[in-house]
Amino acid sequence: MSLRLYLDDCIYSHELRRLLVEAGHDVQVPADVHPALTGQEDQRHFAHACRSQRVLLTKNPRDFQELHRQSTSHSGILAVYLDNDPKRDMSQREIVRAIANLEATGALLAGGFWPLNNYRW
Amino acid sequence: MEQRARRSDKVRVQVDLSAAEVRLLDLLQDRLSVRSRADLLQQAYGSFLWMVDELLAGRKVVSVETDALAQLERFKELCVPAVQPIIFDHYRYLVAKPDKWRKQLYLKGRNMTVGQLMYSMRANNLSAEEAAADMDLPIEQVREAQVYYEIHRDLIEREADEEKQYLLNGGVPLEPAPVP
Repeated sequence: MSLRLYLDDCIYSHELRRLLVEAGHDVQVPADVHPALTGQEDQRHFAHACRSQRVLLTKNPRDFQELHRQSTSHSGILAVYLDNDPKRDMSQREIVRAIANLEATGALLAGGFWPLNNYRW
Repeated sequence: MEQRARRSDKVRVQVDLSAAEVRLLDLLQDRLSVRSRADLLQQAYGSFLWMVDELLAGRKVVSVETDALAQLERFKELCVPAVQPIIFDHYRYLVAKPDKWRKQLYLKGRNMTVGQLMYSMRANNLSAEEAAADMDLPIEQVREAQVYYEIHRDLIEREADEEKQYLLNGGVPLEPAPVP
């Protein structure tokens, strides 16, 4: 299934974008927005994702879970937790695969907070 | 003749350093605008000798906040000429965000912590050059972040642990679920 994704400032990378597009997703990054959201605070990224009805992808789970608690009127938050243990690292390919795994469960993403670490198989 | 005599006074010393230590030295050389590693080491050597001298004289070498100096009756101040001009701009590409719960520095111009950059580089086996190109960052910013990471690794790891605990306490699962 194709998702409309918005990559937060802390996860944006050309390679991740390329892999997500290759997997069939529609991807927007902070620099694509007018005016650009590069360098803006979490609330601005969150507000934009809500407004544009895009699923937000981030490596900042704690702060976005906090925003999720304040409002569940969003299209979904996909979060990657960065562990101190290198064995638990999620590469860009693993992030793309985890999104596919999550989608395969049939979960309704809208209004949910989804830790992708939980879908890495 | 005189030149030759001076040259013969010098002794070449070889030291083994880790890649991270070399990165730190290179960054300091660049930031302090000293001409060479030898100049940098001379400055470090001078500061170290001063500290040893003070300790051998039975005094303490301590560090205090500037505003606390007024409360001290007598003190000696260590001056490092190369550091003085940049003392208010220690990191050029990193910035603190005091209103955030994380105390580690962020990348200037990006809403990204040093830890997020370093862990992403590790996860994807990216060199500094590759990370800079992939994430649209100046290479100097990535190198400065690497140095900051080496110096403040404990803080970054502590904050990652804190975030993990926060998520787990909030019922957020972080372990892979059984394959359906």
